[in-house]
Amino acid sequence: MRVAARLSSAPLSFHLGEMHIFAGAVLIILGYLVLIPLILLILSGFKETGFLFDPGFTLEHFIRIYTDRQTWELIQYTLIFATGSTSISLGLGILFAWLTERTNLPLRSVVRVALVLPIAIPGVLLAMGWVLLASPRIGMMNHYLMEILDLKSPPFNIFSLPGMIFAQGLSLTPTAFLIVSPSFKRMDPLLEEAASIAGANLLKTLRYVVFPLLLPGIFAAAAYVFLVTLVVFDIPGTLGIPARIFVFSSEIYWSARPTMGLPEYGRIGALSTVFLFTTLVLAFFYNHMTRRAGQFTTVTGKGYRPKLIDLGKWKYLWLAAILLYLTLALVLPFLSLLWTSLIPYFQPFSVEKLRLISFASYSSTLGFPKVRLALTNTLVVVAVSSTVVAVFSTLISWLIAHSESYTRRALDFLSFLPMSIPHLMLGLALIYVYLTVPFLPVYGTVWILVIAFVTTYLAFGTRTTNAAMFQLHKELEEAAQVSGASRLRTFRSIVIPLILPALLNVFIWVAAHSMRELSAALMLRTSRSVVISTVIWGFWAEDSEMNRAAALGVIMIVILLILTVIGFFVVESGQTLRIFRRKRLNR
Amino acid sequence: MLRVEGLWKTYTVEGSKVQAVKGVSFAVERGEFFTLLGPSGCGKSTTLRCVAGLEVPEEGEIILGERVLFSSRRREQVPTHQRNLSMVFQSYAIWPHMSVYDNVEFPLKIKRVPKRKEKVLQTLELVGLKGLENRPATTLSGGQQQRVAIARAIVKGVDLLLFDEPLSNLDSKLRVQMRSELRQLQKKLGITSIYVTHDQEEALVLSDRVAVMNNGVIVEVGQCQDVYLLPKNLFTANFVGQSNMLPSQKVTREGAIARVETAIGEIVVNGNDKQSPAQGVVMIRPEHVSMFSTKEEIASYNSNVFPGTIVSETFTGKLMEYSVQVGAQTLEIQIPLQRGFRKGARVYIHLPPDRCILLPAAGPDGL
Repeated sequence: MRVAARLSSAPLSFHLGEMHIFAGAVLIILGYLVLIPLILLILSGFKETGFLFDPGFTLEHFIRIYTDRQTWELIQYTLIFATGSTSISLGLGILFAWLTERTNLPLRSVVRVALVLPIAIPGVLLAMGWVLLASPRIGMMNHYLMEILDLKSPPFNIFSLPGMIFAQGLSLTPTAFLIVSPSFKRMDPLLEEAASIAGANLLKTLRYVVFPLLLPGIFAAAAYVFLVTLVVFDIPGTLGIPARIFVFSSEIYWSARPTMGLPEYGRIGALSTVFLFTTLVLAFFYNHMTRRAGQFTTVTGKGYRPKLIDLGKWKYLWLAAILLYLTLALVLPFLSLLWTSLIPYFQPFSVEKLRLISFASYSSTLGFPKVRLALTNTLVVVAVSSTVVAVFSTLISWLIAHSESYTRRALDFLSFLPMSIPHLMLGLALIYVYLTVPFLPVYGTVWILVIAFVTTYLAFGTRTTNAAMFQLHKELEEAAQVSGASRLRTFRSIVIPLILPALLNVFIWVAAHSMRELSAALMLRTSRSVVISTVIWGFWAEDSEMNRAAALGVIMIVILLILTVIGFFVVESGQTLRIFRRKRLNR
Repeated sequence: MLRVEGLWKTYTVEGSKVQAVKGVSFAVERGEFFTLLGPSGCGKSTTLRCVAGLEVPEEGEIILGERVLFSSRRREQVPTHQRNLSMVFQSYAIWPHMSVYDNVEFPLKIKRVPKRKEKVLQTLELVGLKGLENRPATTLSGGQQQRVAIARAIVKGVDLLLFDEPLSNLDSKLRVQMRSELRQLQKKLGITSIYVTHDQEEALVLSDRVAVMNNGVIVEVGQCQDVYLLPKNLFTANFVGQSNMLPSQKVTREGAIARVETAIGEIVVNGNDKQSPAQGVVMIRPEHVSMFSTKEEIASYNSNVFPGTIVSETFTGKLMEYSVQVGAQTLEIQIPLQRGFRKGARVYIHLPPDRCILLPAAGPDGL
């Protein structure tokens, strides 16, 4: 009787008032940032002209797309491109993770850092570097090989589907490596020992224990890389458009910037919806697998060293293979850009031409008012986006850790959703939003870029701060509360200092990514809202001023390299700190 | 000093409601060391966390001194940080980004107390951490971290000190040492304390009074000795210490004693009062049973003597544990090591009437 009475009585809610208001406010902002563009984008596919306030709905765009043979060709090309480049980067990523974590590869700790560096080269610059190396007309590699081997025609053509797959594969290998290697690193060797004590031989141990434990990490990497390659613009845009090889992203870019007339927003919206479904599924599969991988990689905090496999005399061959990868993905493209930026007009590298070297391209390019504006804009966008994402992610994660089930799920879902929205489409969606709903006059300014970047990078930001927040034992906060500290004071004195490495990591990562981001920036580009990445694209693809594009590209790569190295060490230090903290708490 | 009335707390775990605390009431006197003892999941920690304000009950009242900390009826709730109490956690919850000094200073800093340094150093000395104030807190051992946690809890001078299984992460030697230090410290400072543990020995050593909890309710409250020697129900008898249980078939009362028919014969129980039940179970602790090898030795006893056979013996160091088959029943007996008692030996056991307790049989809810 009494039990029943308790259950039916209304729950007391007076205690959580402030929390509810705060969580509600954050949910509204998140919903505004994430859902409005998404809904408008999908709705635009059902509108004659693509604009929301036009009367009537139509299925015409969808019918036209599905009956168009071109669409199927587009899907086919996109799938070949995505599958091919995913296979390359995943294969290399797994191989490199295994080599650096579980074998006695020479110079492992150096290699581990070096393998992250190619992330610092944005796709568009990698593609440009490879055009300079392997374009049939001007490519330096083609030039030398034709000369040495006396060939009639250039051996390589980077403006091809294999060329695009090759470059994209190189570009995403570090990403796959970074996602997979924790599974290799943190797998408790006790599990393997237990299997061999239970009577399993090496092969059985690998098959029944090691491989199943690695699978979630590998699936997560595969889903993430495949998602990226389905929608990425940089490389297909640089290498595919000149050869009229279109994949989904370059098709959208092309249709959104027609040489004459209005963009076919309706058609684009309909096309996007098709892809959005796929990316949504992939993103949630990725999220699920990351969680599984996290459950499997138990950090025991014991200072163990996994058993290392002896590579024997092959170890230098493996090291050479890694060096070859680094040469192709980082050194050669960078050097070809550097060379191009230092000589007045493009020609293949040779020792006699060294006397032509000057910094003229740098000084004249940096003197352009357009470039000056782009530099200032980039600085503003980078500083504001990374700060806002870091702060907002921390608040969201804190709320996720402290609120009840429904709020928690809504916050988690909304902050993760942007991962499935391709940047080009987000750019497009924001055009719809701020052309149709003009209460925030941000269209054409850098602030629309800030909105785009904050939205899209919140997914990464919240994943990182969530992980850090869940590592914090809740009693650490409760101890502050019983010591007399209010929630705000606890947040400031306890939570923030303890998750600082994660916070810094988010800050640096978002800074690096918003500096190099091209797709959304291109969609939202106006004469006022240029940033460095779009200026580079303009010089390269539109004005054919290779040396100016190369000069800005070199500057950007150097800055990104520095940020990447700092970011890498921040993450490393954060991990040691966390392991340490766990260990102490578990004593 | 502290009064808790009719506390109810329900959790929602994956969509289904779990009642953790079902109408718990108790009062703690000023300066008293009060322990909530029970198996895991009995609601003892939840009760403590409600007192701290870390959980919000659906119903009940919590009053500390004159101050209402929580009242569902008056819809009042004081947030944790304004309750002027402290808590020592199971994980110690030492802030890893601060030094020992900073950890202990924190509560004073929040209160903006002047001349903090003197106070912090005094407290550190009190818990035996003198000279370690500048160490990063994470470089300390588990026992030292627990001392920091205690120092942090007592430094600001609180009305109520809460302990949530603070010793369960320490190894057994250290645990024994810490619990006697804790007891001395609490008596010295005279702080009203509530302690939560599942370890009955810890509860008996530390407390003035113990509340035994099971399934979200308090089944018995009393002085340590009473809870152990004169439990009022089966759950307490079983949970606090080991016990032999002999179901009764018939109870006959004769003044101060009761004669209880059991499967092994008639047992005389002393201390029969009017409340003792008509039906029930006779409980006796293993260490209260005595054992003899010859009939002559038991000649002086005129009741409660039974012949039996030793079916197993276990050496535990301090004591020997014997299982003795008496009729269809097996009784556990603990006595110091003696020669002559071997497995298979015929023996006589004696159950002292003062130590036999007649308990009501278990009701439908296990009580």
